[in-house]
Amino acid sequence: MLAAYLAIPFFLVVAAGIGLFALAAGFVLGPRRPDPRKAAPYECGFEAFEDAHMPFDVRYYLVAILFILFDLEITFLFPWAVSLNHIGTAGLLAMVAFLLVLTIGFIYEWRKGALEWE
Amino acid sequence: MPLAMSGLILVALAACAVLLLGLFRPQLAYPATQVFLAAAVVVELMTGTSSGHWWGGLFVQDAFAAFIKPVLLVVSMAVFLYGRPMVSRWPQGEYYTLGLLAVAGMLILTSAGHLLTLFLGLELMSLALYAMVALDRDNDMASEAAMKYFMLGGLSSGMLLYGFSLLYGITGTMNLQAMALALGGAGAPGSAVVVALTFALAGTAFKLGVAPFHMWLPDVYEGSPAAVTLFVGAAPKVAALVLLARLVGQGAQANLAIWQPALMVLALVSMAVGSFGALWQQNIKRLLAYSAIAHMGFVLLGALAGSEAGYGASIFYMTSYAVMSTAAFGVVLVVCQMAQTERIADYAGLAERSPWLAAVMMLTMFSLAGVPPLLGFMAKLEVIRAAVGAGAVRLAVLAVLLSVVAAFYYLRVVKVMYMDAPTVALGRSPDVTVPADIKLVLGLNGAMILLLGMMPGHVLHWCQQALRGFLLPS
Repeated sequence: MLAAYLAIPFFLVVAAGIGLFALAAGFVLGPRRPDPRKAAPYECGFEAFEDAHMPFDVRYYLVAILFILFDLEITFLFPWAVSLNHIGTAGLLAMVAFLLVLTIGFIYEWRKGALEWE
Repeated sequence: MPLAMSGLILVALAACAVLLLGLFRPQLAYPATQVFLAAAVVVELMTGTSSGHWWGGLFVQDAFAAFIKPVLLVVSMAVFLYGRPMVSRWPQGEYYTLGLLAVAGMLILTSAGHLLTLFLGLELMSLALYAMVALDRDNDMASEAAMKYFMLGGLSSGMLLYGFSLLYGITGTMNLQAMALALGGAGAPGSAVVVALTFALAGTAFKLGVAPFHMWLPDVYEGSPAAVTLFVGAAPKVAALVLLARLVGQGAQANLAIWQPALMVLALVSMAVGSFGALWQQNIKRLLAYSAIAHMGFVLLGALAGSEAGYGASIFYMTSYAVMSTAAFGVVLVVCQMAQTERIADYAGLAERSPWLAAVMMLTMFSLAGVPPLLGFMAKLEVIRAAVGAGAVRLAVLAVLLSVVAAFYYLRVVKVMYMDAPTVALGRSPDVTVPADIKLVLGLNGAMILLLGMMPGHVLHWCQQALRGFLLPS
């Protein structure tokens, strides 16, 4: 009985081992012959135009997060639409409730001005 | 749809409504929240007795849930009331929406007879709390506290889930009743159950704020704005105890031999860390944080008995603690408004400045210290009795000794309030009028600590009744 669960620590050890092995192998076996050309920063084959650590407009993140949120939630509609024949009124009502919550979130972000760029 | 779900649905609807109100009529967010919560209390009291299991245990209504839910709702109402003056400076809709979502999470957790809903409720509560801590955006300390809370909370959820996954792997079920039977059966592999319960307990201890899983607690209590600390320190503690009772008490009731020693260690370490850690604190919120750690240790004293009477004592302790913690933070909030200070030294002269405020604080401090005839004393008596009943006599003796240590720092607050000369902060602070309703409820809160301590019979009886039939008949 116990033997069946030995798999768990065994799995943990193997997982940690593979991770460490990959890092260590790269570190030990990888050839490292740096020269000034190789060590120089590059941007798709060109000389670097500007510093890579430039401040990014935080609004990108807001838009990205909102997009992902709504995109994922809308994805939920596809399996629902396909199986609507089988799940009946209860399924319809559940989706109405879901969309209601989604709409409230949408009204919130709209009123808060999260959709306006300027 | 079970009737017993109406309270939960009402609170969830309230969260949506208050979010919209916050956009269009921010001044209505607070009254609407209170009206919805009051309505939910009434609904819970009316529908709570319709017990049963639905959807394979995903939703359960029993005497336990029927007792805990109104407690959670009433405590949250008091918390929102005390927090109102401070919250009125923030985006209001967000605070009350997050608060209501957290309450909804606690209600789900309380009615969970299944690992899925247990986790769903816990996360709904926790995520709302993380965001609440960070609500005051320009406050650096609050942001730091929110980060710590989120990181460690996420880690603890991971540990809890790992424990859940192992439990599911061992028993093949996520229903707590079925799990209890499977774990009690001969087929359950011993060492795997040990690993699973260890992880589940560690995650639960994190949420409860029990040492040695308490690292986040003092920082979060200190860093959060007082109105949020007040919220975090009351109802979510009750919910965390519910998690322990449902998961360990109900789900793993047959495995007492595995988790009882663990709970004993957690209780002892927690009482010791809480009692000694608070001795040197200068910040009242940090002091109350260590006090919370010590009190969670006492709560475990009852739970480690693993009996219905033991859990009854724990629930009584936790309910009393929620009442005391709400009163203490209520006073802290008023002083925060009055003098912009959280240093204990600045409480000097509070008795002259505001006698009733100092009186409520004194009652609360004596009660937290466990001075008879106050509520805290009765609560301590019950859990220690439960621990002795479970054979943990040495632990009970240590608990009493450690509560003597803890009495020192509670009395220090009283001494500062009554005997020290006022410092600059309180002395020259402008007169802030405390709203009459806050005065009234704070007074009631203090009176509860006194009266329930002298006449604990009814509440104690309810707590014991609530646990009847909680465990499987063995």
